[in-house]
Amino acid sequence: MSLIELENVTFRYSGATRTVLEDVSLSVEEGEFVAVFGEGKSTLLMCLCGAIPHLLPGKFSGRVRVDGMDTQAQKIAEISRKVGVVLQDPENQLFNLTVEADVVFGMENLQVSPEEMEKRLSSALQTVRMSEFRRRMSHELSGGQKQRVAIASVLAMESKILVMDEPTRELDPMGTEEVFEVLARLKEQGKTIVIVENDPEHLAPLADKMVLLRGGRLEAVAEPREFYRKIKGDRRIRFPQVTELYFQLEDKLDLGSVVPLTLEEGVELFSRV
Amino acid sequence: MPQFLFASALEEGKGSFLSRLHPTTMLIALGSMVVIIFSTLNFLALVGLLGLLFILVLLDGMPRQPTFAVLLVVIPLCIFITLIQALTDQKEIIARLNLFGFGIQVSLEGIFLGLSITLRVVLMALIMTVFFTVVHPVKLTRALYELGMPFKFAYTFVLALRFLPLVLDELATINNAQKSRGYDIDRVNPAVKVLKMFPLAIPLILSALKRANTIALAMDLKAFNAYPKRTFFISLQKGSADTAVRTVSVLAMAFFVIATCWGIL
Repeated sequence: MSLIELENVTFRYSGATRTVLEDVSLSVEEGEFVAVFGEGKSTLLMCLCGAIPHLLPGKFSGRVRVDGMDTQAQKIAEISRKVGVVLQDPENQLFNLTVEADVVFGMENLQVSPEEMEKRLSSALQTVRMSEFRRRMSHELSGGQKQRVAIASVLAMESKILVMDEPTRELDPMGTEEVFEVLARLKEQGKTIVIVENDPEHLAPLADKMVLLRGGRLEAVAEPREFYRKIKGDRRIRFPQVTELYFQLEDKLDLGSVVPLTLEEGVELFSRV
Repeated sequence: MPQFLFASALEEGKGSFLSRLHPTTMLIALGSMVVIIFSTLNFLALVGLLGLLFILVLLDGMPRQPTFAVLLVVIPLCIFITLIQALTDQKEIIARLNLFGFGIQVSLEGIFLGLSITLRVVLMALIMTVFFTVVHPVKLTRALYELGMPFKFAYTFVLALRFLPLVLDELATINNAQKSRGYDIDRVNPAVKVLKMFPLAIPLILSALKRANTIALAMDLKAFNAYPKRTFFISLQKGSADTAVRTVSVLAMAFFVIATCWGIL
């Protein structure tokens, strides 16, 4: 059984005339890193964490299962034990005055014992490389550091699944780099991650699976090389620059059939030509 | 960027004796002081209290700058109160003046009454500043929860401290954006300024509502208020110093109330 299963999910926000998700079925295995693109991607993430249908009003049908739990039948607090969410703006996710207080916030809500909190707090801050900032005031941190604290606060809740809605959108290049370093480390640790992001250069080497939604329907689901080949020519999606170059030249040069995703792969491929 | 008055003060005041007390002890001391301040208008008693507070601030290693800065804010109000009392009271007239054809009399009792009211204002401002300087907001939240306040209400204080500077930041951004379009309310008459605030207030309210929605969503996704009870990472310790401060506070309050009722003060 997959860790995440969506079966024929359809959703329309209250007062809206257009359906955002229509008959979407998708499965994610444990340890997979899945990137979602297209229209309705954030809504899809909100379905995974139970915000839809519990918190965001609208007409929902279908079924979402996370770790065997039907999100419709469970309270949001129970779902939060399985799915941790990181949103776009780190400012809106740090509610406390210090880093330490922010990381323990979710654990306190879930009634974790203080001894266990200490262990998880140290481990989560270590993972995001923020241990030395433990007693710092949240407002003193840079955007990237704040987002890393937001990730640590979710990791400390020990949810199996990490759902991230454009976590680097509000960040500068340095902050973006910091967040993707953390994501690479989490992937190595086997964390299941579903992410909405618009940075193909960073995403392509990390993703196991890429998903494209069009008009609320699932248009493509594949591993990155196959995914980019499938959607080749679609100007609405950003490709890694090296992949874009490959597609521009593949008919003119003998480049082979393996689509490069990283600069290193591109250098190796083009140096052979 | 607007500074966290409480947070920065709190960082400096970490080592003070008062900051190590249980927040409930500080709440009891604060409550007792408020009752004492409002139980008497005796000028000498209020001067004595002010002196004690000054000594406490100086000896306890509290940050002096934010503590005393608050006095600068209330001093104009105090001068105004004293002046009004001195000129309107009818007892113990010490001087009669003729100002632009108007007869004005100055009352000694009015001056003392004005100064006593002034001292009340100064003392209230000072004790509130000291309280919020030495009591960690997270610990205060915890103490209020232990005293029976629902956590979602007790937590409001921390949330306000965290997000107020962001709202002020947003106001500054909106103000700059409007200025860049030629809408500069800093250069208009104060009376007109209120009416001209709408182009600043409306986007600020809309963005604050949007932010509030996102924060509520993020908090719900972290199981905020999902269960009737919660655990706490920090623990609050009550020691012998707490018992002593609580006892002295309550006794002092009782003394002032009884003394005032008996007409001693």
